[in-house]
Amino acid sequence: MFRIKGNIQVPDALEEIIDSIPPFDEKSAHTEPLVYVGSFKQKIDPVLLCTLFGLYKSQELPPTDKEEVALFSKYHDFNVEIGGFADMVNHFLFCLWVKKNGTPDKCADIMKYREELYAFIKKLLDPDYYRTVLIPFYLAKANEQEIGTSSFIHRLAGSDEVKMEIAKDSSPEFLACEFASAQNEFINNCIIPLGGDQGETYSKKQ
Amino acid sequence: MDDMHFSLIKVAGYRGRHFALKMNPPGQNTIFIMDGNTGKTTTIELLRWCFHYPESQAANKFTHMWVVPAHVLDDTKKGPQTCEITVQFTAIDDEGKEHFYQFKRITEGESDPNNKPTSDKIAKISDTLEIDHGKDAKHGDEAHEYLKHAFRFNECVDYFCFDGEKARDIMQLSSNSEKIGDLIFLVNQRATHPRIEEYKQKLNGLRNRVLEEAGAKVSSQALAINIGKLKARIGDLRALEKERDQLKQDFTTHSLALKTFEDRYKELQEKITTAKAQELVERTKYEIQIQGKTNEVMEKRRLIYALNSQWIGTNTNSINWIKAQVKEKGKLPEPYRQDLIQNCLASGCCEICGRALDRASEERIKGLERQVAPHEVHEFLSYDLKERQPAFDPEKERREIKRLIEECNRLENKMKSIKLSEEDAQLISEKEFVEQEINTIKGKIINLQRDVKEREEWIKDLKEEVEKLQNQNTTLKEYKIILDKIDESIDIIVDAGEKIKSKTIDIISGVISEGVQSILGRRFSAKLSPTEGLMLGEDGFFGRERGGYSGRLILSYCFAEAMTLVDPIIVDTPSGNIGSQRANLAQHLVENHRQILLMCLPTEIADFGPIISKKPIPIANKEC
Repeated sequence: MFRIKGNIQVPDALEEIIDSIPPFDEKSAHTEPLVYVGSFKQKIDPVLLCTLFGLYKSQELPPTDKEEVALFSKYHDFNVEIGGFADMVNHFLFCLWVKKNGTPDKCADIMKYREELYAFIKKLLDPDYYRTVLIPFYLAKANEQEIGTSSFIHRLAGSDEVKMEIAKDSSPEFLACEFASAQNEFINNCIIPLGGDQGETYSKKQ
Repeated sequence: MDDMHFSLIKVAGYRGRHFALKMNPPGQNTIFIMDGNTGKTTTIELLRWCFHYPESQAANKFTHMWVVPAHVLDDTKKGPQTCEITVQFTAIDDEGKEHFYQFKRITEGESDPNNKPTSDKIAKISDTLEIDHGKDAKHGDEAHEYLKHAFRFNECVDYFCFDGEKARDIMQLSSNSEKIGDLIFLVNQRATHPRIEEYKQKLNGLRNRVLEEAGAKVSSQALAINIGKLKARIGDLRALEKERDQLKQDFTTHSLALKTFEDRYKELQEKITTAKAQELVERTKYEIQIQGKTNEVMEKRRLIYALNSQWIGTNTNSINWIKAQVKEKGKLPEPYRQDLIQNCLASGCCEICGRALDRASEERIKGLERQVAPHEVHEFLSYDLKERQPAFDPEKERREIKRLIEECNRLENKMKSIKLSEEDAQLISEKEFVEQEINTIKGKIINLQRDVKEREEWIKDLKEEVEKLQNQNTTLKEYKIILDKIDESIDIIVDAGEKIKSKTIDIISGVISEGVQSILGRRFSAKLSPTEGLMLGEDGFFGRERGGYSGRLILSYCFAEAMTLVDPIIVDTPSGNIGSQRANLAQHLVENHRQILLMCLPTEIADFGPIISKKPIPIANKEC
């Protein structure tokens, strides 16, 4: 169980997206969504997607010394279970932490290493930390303007305006590709160098 | 205003029509004999256009026989032109004094076949309402406002200016069970009592006066501020409620407009798909293919977002290997029982063997504590992340969408190269216009829904704040009974408004039924209800298919009569499809209206005309 309950700070463009998604229980009444972003199954979906994109893009660890970060003026109230998503993000962050802090054998003080690792993981397992720090932190990263174009979140909000055009960087297909590319880059930078490509090796070890 | 009497309708230039319809004096009805294509429909539609739309909103709003919008200028005339319609009528005020009114709409412009959506290039529209032969005059939108308030023409012009088009609209509304909502919306518009809003405003004014009085008695500055704040909040609340009600009304109007446009779109689509012209058939074929591809692209794009959870993938084995490495190299201990350690330290005894802890043992246990992570942290470190591969290939989807769009562009180029006849091109252009309107209205409806929801939330918050302020203020306690009574009265008035609506529906239902009986005979009746809509009854059995075409046409007549707010009735081709009931219909009209103006085809006078007027007036379309 990993339930997000309460307000999450969101950028304006993301709030527009959230508002255009019909509530989950009303989904059946909408046989055909009028817009693309209305096709997200739950209001939390674009929030999680953008959070993950922010992590991939920034490859930064979230601040652990804060109870709350104030980044946006808009809030949206959620009460939703995100266990599967959080588990995966936590593993990504664990790898990123290991990348930045090294493996234990490199540490002189193994006790200190353990303490820091435990404290970090403990933070990640707290739904309130997710709600007040981690999600807004990465949303801010996904909301940063990119070279030659607007932010991922802005383009996601603008994808409803896309007509029958191919070279549009806000089209759903373009954004999905951009997400996949950022995901690959993250894996190649933060996971593979630590564990090698363990597709085969680790399975054999098991 | 009472005893309204139309004396003249003069059309000069609009759609190439030139004639003056001079009515017989009060107490007499008038029949104009006008052949086909001489301006009967145009007259009715011009009246609707003038009374529905104020000067500032009239451009491109004229409609002609389901063509929306239709040209209003003379499309056969080249160069600048000026068209004019004059409507003269009299009415008696509450003090029994007769007043004369002359409404005039002048449209200046040019007809250009290349102009879209109609050929009209309107330069100027000017409205004037002259009252009592020049004693007073209203210009521009003021003329419309005056007619709206004094005669409510805007609400009932569709009914007192009646024709086959309106009859068909009503028949469709009454025949289609899915359109009951639309029909009841029209009736509710008619049933909304203008006084209700007035009373509500008066009560709100009274509440303000009570608060002012309470404020005057307050000596404490803090309480005075509280009362001022309360007054302001109540004002905000009322304004917000009004705004919300307006938005709700706009929502209903837009929903209705959407349905109308969607129906029209279906009609046009059907016309286009069943067309015989080879070019249009070919164009339609391409259009269907393009639509298919467009839908496919849209569906794929929607699916991309719907399947967003499948975008996420990772190298699970690597992650699990890293976890194992960290555990192994860091010699991370297996989970300790944290509660056991803490209990030992708290009690000073070993919780396992019961021996008292010496200093060295205590230090060792404290060291252990530093190695201990909460259970969930250990759990996180000990299990393997489950395999997760993205089931979604964005590159593949992108390639597929690109292919579909390219295919679509190719088909569009082919479609554009087809030369269409002028008539077919107009059909296509109208369909595109209607499609655009549908999309615009859909967008507006979404925004309105969101705005209504937002207002509802604000209203809820404001109500809570008002209640809190009222409870805080002790001085208000003595006025509380009055304020509560005012609130109660407002609720009663709102409730009464709803009851009036329901009662009005019953009355309208009764009026329609009496009308039907007087024309079709005692065996027939009619029923209007919010759940079943409008139905014709025969021998006590009601149904949407009863009465045949002529029966339902008469039902439409009676509905229009019940819905109008003015007495005269102006009808285009009144007995065209009435069949054997002509004489009965004529008799019914004579008995129920002080003035009847009919524009008849020469063929429909028999068994009908003489009952209404002995001297029909022939009218020809002549440019003066």
